[in-house]
Formats: sequence, C-alpha cells, structure tokens
Amino acid sequence: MSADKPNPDGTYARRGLPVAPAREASAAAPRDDELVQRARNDDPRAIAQLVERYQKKVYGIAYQFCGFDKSEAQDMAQEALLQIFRNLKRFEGRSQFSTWLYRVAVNACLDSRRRRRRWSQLLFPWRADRQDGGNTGTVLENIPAPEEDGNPLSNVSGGELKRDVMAALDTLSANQRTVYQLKVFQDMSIAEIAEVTGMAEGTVKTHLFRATQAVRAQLHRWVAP
Amino acid sequence: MQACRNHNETLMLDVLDELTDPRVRRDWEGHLASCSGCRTEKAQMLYLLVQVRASGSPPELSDAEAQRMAGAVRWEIRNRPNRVSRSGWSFRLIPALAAACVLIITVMAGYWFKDSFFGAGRVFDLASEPQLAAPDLDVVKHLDLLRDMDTIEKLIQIVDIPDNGLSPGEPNPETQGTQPDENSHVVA
Repeated sequence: MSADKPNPDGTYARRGLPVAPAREASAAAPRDDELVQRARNDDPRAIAQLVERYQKKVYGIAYQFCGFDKSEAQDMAQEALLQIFRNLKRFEGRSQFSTWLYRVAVNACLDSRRRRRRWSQLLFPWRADRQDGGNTGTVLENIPAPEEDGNPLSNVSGGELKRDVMAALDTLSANQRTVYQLKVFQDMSIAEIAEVTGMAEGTVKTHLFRATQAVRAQLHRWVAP
Repeated sequence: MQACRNHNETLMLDVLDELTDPRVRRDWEGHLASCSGCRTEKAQMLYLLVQVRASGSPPELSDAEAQRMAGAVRWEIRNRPNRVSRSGWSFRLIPALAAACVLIITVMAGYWFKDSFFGAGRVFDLASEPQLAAPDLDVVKHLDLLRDMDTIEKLIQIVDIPDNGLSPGEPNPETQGTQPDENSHVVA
C-alpha cells in the first residue's frame, strides 16, 4: 500500500482525498504539523487557519452522517470542530493530524447522531417504533426537499434517489454505514478507513462488501437498464 | 445474465478502486473479458456508485456560512476553551441526573396528588351527605349494641314462654277474671 503513504504535509498521495486542501495549498502555506504545534500553544491565527482548511471536509462528513440535512450538518460540523480543537492537546502525533482529525470528526458525528436518535425516540416514540419495525418512514420524513435546479423532472428524481439512498443506508449497521460512507462519499482507501475507525483492514473490507451488497439490493431500481 | 458468485468480492473491490494486487487484477481482467455477466454487473455497479455519490454530495457552503461557522468555532475556543467534552462520562451523567430528578419529582407529585385528590374526594363525599340529627347519630353509633339487645330480647321471650304456649304478657283465658288485684286475694 505504498500509494497510501501520507506525504510530509499530512496529505495522502492517493486520489486527492481525504486531505485535499492541504495538498493544494501553495508552498508558502504552513504545514499541518506546524499549525497544530502553534494551535496547541493557543495561537488564534493557527487555529483559524486549521478551521479554514478542514471545515468543509468536516461539514461534508457531517452532511452524510446527519441524513443529508444542510443546517443539521452545519451544527454537527461546528460541534465536531469544537471537539477537535478542545482535544487538540491530546493529539500525540502518532498518526497524521488529518487522520486524527477525521477520527474525532467521525466519532463526534456518530455521537451526535446517536444523541439525536435518542431524543427522537424519547420525544416521538411512535416514530421510533416504526423505525424499529424496519420501516424507513422517519428517514423519509426527515429528508429535506432537494435543491431546486430549475428542472422539475431532475428535482423529483433527485429527491427520490436521495430518499432511496438514505433508506438504503438506514438498513445498514452502524459500522457498515460508517465504512460505506467514508469509502463512497469521502473516497478514502480501505487503509485510511481502517486507521480512522480503528478497525482491521479485513474487517473494513467485510463491512464494505456487505454494505455494498445491501445498498445494491436496495437500490436495484436505480441500476441502469 | 448474473455475475459469477465467486467473483463478487473482486468485483466490488474493482468497482471501489481497491483492486491493488497486480496479479489479482490481471486475473480479474482476464475473467472480465470472457464473462459478459460480470461485465454487465460491473457497469451497473459503477453507474449506481455514481448515482449514490451524486445524491450524497453536500451542497456547497457559501462564504458567509463558512465564515459564520469558523467565527463561531473560534469564539467558542477563545471564550470557553476548557469546556468539558460532551462525549465523556460526565456528559452521560447529566441526563442520568436529570432523569433521576424527574423521577423523584414525579413520585413526590404523585404522592401529593394522591393525598390531595383522594382526600378532597372523601371530604367532598362526607359533606354532600345529609346531616343527621344527634339522636339519630347516637342510634347509628350504637347500632350493633341495639341489634344485640334485640336478639337477647327475642331469646328471652322464647325461653320464657310457659307450657300453655302463651307469651308472658298475654292474658290466660282460663284464669281470666280471677286475676288477683294487687290489693286483693282470689277467693276460690
């Protein structure tokens, strides 16, 4: 897996993800480890630069974890970023900063999703019952309307696809879903996913295989004729 | 035509661009060239992957939104840098304590409501009954005693009945007219 070895600036050489912003930065831009060192010493400019560098990536993860809802994703991303910077002193430098950051962000998003689900079950038990019964009614109700692009046909089919994708993701276990989302939406390699989630590569592969099969079966009507 | 079952995992790895082993890749490509089922399945899965990726790509954050989020994060870090993480045990303790408080309040409220509600009902019921006079209340109070006395009286009557079958108070027709007065004696 030599292609997956991180660059000195904390980016991965492969496929442009997960830390594209740093790689695209110009030579004058400070490296992650320099910024982290300064941020740990409470340098506000370093913190600002790190936030700016990673916020869209964290927002992207949050968007997929919170059920494709933009405003919820912004809240979740903000919460995740706060956790990252509040725990920055615990970062020991054993892995790349970007890997550690993704791990904290994914955990924050999972926690947030669990919390929201718990509150939802407490406040709307009838919805939780439906969800427990394997019905995806809650998911379907919560998915926001697709963004308008002027073409009603594509809006309708885009909305339907989004709902079906959410419903399919909702049938997966938490681990399968996390692995699948990191692979498909964040385009991480299996090695990177293993590092971020703390699973063995074989486990990641198994989860990914099962998730792919399940999603394929759920979305059979979207497969090209 | 179906894809070959024994190539399912390789197919998935290929679609997800994870087929890194050159030998496995070469074998797989050789198989693909001869198997139309696997070729079709690969094309369908690639198409589906594109669809799923498109549906899950987040709407772009506007500059204003990005700046607002970054500003909020910076403000929080600057003003509340040591706030306890919400994911630790202490965060789980808060809902547990809240639940305990709610439980205690519910129990106390239930106890209070039980007393006040049922107590009020009792007072209301008593108040709604017609007031009894004092002698009547006395009768009610000693109802058991009166019932016992009545029973005893009946018993005495039965025991005291003479052989002629008349009750003690009843006049005997045989001795009628010969009943001595209190001040005189019967003369035979």
